[in-house]
Amino acid sequence: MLKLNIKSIVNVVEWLVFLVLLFFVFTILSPIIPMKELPRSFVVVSGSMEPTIKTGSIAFTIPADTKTITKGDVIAFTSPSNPKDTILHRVNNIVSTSPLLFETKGDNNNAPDDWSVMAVGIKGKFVFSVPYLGYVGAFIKTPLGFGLIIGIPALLFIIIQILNIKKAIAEEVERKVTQALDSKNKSKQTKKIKPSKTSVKSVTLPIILFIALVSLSTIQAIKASFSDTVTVSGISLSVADFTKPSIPTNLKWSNPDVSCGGYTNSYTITPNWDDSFDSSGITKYQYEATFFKTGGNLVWPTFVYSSSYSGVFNQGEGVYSFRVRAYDADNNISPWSSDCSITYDKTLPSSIIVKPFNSDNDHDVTFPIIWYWDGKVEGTATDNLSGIDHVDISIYRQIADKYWSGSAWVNGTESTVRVTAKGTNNWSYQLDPLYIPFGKFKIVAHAVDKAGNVENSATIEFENQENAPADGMDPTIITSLSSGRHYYSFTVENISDFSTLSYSVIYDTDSAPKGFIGSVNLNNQSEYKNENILLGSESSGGGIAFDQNVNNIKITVILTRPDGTTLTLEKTDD
Amino acid sequence: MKKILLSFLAIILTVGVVSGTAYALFSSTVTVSGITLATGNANLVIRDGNINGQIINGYTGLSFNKMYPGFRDYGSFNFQNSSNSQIDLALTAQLTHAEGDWDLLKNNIFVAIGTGTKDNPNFLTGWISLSDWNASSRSLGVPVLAYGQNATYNLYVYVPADADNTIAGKTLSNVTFVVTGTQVTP
Repeated sequence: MLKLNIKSIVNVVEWLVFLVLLFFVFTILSPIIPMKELPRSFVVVSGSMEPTIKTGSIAFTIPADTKTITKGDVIAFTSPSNPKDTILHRVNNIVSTSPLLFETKGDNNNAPDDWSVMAVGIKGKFVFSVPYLGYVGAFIKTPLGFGLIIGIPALLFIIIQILNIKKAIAEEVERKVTQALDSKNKSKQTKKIKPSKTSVKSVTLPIILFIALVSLSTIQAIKASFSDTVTVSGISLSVADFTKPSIPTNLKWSNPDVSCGGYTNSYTITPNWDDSFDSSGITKYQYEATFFKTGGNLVWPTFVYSSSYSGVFNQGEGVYSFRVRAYDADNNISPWSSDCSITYDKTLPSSIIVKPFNSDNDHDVTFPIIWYWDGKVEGTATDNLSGIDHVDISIYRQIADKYWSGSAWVNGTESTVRVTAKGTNNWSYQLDPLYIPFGKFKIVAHAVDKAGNVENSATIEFENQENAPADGMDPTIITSLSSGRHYYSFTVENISDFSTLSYSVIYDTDSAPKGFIGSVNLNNQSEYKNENILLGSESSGGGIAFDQNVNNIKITVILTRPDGTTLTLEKTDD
Repeated sequence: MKKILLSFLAIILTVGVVSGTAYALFSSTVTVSGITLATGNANLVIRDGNINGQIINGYTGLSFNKMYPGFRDYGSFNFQNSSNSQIDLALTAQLTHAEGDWDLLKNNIFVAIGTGTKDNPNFLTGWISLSDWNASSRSLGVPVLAYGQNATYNLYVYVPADADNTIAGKTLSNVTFVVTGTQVTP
């Protein structure tokens, strides 16, 4: 009974081993079986997943819906860098859900893999691993391993089988002999030869074991790929400022302000310009000045560190020109600016008054008399370098202590009340005749050159004897003649400055010239009116007869001032 | 008789499986890939300048100054595959960081990685703009950095001759590449 139980247990174990081996073979061979739904096994050939999965393990995976794979799962996938390789790494991050992309990392690596795994490349999800079993497969692949693990057992197995065959043949022969003897001696009882038992399992089990071992040698390797990263840092890239600064612009002269091409008499004037622009900044300007002179121009360059320069006119009067260019920190140089010139003139111009009389002759006589000054002042002016810009004159009326402003006699000084003459080298000024009084005058001419130099050398003094009326109005004759040309009247206006008035009216007739004369004393009246002088009339038989063709009516009025001076007015009516 | 047949069958199967496997494993015409079981880990280190340079933490201090249109120069550093087992590494690189005038310079400065000299370079990559280096990881080509190998790599920098004035005076600092060495199996 006990023997029967032990035999049954051995039998069950035998079957279990048989089934396990079958499963093992089936699993190992699964990668080459074209059914995706099957579990798979791989030999782990590297250690980037250690310690979770040790090198030399056989890892088992099962198919998985990629949508169910989450961070932390260990997956087997086709290497994105080499489709022939299969990688077993842990999902480090889900990079994208559409499309589904996984970032993976070996547990033993210090950085994620340098790829993203697509869902289609995933072969399965890791389930478990059997340590060291992969080493067996690897060892089998060596001649020694093959010989020891497969070759010798196979040889032993074959020998056993040969012995079994031999034994079976002997048993068969014996059984046949026994059967023959039995047929001859049916009455005798012979010993029954019982053939030894052999089962299908006892033969197939070793064969399956061989297949399993052989399969181990052909199992697909899975690479728990190693990786490492380093940073290459601290690289600096700096592009030089290879652009030229902008050209200096707006060249000019300052202190005082003068435009290019202008004139100055200021030694302190400075050339300056607007700063150039440059991305790295302007470090200096090269300043180059030229002094134009006969026999060869003088040029001197220098560097300045601001947008101006001083001390230009060290060569004295003349025409100077400057130009500049800018340097930046990388020594890029802008093109030269345009030239900017200036004429330095510090010499005063000169002028002469030639009318009412020549100022050069006005040195011996004090206040020479002019009988009737018409208010005109004329003269000439010259300048050696920059030329005459204009001539200012001051007209001083001594008796009133006033200066002529251009429109009236006003209080002031010679330097503050001046008028500008017309013209430059030949100039003139006309004082309004209505404002020309008698008395003493002093006229000073000031020629001003383009550099701003002002001279005051031309001066004349004189006395005007025939002055204009104090009221500023000229005496005027106004006449009236009737249509028959016999009734003639006249009025003399603006005569308040005069004390007496005498007149004569002369006209022609058919027969002979005729005329009237008259004289009246004036009593500060402003006008004198004489009405209806009868022209060409004759007494005839108690009546009046008139000459025909009265014409060429000429009236002459002589006005006498209290000081005896006179003013003569004339008018003719044809 | 059944026993004899079974044994014969077993012998035939055993001989067939074993000889077939042996042929597959050791024949010169039919190849089954060998399995190399590698323990240890990958380790990629960078040295300053050349193979005899000091191992550095990645800070190269490479400086390309005063660049101008048409500029071309290079700086060197050394990679060593210091893995502690038979691991060959394929290198990829990606620009991950830069400070300064990135927008103005990213498409006007080109970088290539290679070996050789300035005048006789052996480019492992093409001329790739900084922008593209930043956009994705770039392979440093073949050959791989074999186990234990030291190799000097040059970082070539090039500014196109037709670069416009907008890049003048611009600077990028602390430019950083991440270089990944990934195991390559035979």
